[in-house]
Amino acid sequence: MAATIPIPAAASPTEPEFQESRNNVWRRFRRHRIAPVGAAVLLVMAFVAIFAHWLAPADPNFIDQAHWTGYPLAPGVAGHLLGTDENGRDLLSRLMFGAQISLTVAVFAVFMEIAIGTVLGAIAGYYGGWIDFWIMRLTDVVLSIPLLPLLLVLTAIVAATSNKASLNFLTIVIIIGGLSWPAVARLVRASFLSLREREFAEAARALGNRDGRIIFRHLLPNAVAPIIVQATLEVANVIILESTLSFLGFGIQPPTASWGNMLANASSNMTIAPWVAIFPGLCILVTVLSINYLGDGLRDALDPNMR
Amino acid sequence: MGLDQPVPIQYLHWLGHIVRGDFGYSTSNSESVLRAILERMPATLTLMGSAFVFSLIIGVGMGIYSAMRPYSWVDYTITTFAFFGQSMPIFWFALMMQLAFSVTGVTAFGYHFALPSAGISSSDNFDLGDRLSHLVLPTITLGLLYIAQWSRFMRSSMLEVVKTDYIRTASAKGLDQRVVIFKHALKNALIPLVTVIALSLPALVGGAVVTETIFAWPGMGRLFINALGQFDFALLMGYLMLVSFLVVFFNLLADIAYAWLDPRVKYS
Repeated sequence: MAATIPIPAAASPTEPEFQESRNNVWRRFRRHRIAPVGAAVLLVMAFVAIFAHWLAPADPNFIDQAHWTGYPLAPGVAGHLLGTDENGRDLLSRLMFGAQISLTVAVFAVFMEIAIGTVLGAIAGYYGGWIDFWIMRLTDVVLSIPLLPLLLVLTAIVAATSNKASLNFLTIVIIIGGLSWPAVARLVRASFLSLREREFAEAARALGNRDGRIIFRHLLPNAVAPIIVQATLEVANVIILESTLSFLGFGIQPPTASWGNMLANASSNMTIAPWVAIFPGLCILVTVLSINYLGDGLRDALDPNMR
Repeated sequence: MGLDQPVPIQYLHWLGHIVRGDFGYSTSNSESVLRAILERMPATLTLMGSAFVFSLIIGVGMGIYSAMRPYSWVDYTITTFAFFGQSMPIFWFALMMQLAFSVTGVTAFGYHFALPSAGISSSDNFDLGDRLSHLVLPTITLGLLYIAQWSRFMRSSMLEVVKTDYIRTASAKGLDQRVVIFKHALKNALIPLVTVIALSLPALVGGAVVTETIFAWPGMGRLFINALGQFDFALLMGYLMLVSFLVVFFNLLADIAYAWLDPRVKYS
């Protein structure tokens, strides 16, 4: 393919063209009507998560023993805006602190998976040959094992070898980030396969640059757009993964609130206290939906040929 | 059992037995791992199969409908639905389905309906209606994500095919739009879906684990979650091995089907 498509010298990015394309990106992003709304919702969520300590009406682990009768308090009762959970803890406060946990786990895990996926994908795509072969086979192996059961087994190993409390923030981040990189690796490899044949890559090689410099300084900046889109969508995936693990009892451990573990005991009280089951899930849905719309808008804006 | 050996040695030991078809014994109840899993496999395959067929029919149907009227309000509604479906945490959706259709129930036409929220049947005697009613909520729960994904994929795939010359020829002959879509375009639009379906299999297995846990479905996913609570690693490893094998096997089938469906594809 590379041999048949001559790239005119004028197409190389010059300063004014780059400026214009940046304006185009912003215009295309705004034309996607829902993506800016999604971005706004996410900003609010992030704000609440960051300042949960000051915004929350109560301590998330404080049990309101003055009013609690052994059953969840209904929304509005005794100053609990969204009611309490089955242990008499303020639901709104727990949701805010849960946002903190769920969002940070997602962001850190995605950073990790992007780092691993980008490096492996770039190396595979740039060098080709047997390096490419083995990296891609590794990717295939990871992809062929169903992710959720694999994550669960790994968290169980951690829990069995130390104790369940060791399933903290960092462990979950490492386990999720360490296993969800294959999609990124494939994506980056695909861009590198075509980028390495371009003239500017050849020029960089001809100038005697080291491989590492060509990969990260010359080629990688040209592959950033799809990586950003993928990273955005991965945040949504990781939020769902983390909340599923926590829901099943092998993610973030109580009493630390996460949107997933708040739902773990909700089903037993669903007849008398449906709000305990409704609100945390609604938070997950709204956040993930916003991220997915944002990712869709970013794809339109950054990568108009992708549609 | 060789528990005094270091973990890597234990692993090689385990691997040696796996390649000879020996999955070992559960450490929690000494049952044969292979038998325990195979016993529960039919229930899981029933659930996964019905979710698969359900989402294939609904998803493909919605995708075609969207593509026939692009940018209409129906198309926007379907696209929005697909976004919601893709963003839905499956365990929460399951809880909401239980809340709406089993706990509260639905009153319509003067009758009050409530669907069973747990188990595979009410009694040991086989009763098709009873079995089906138990299947409804788990199927919808597990299928939602794939309806969403496949309908979006089908829409773009169909829009892609509709742009080609042979479709323009078919329309230019004066054929009815329905004939053009269903007789000419559909076949080619469906081919890339095979790959997408094969790629969603691992997630389907994971979704079945969650669905079975919430709906108390006696399948291998629930067995897996129970084994997880007891740190029964022989069973956990056996399960992972078996489902990964299934995924690889179905991927191979998909690759073969792809070449068979599309004569332009040749594997050298």
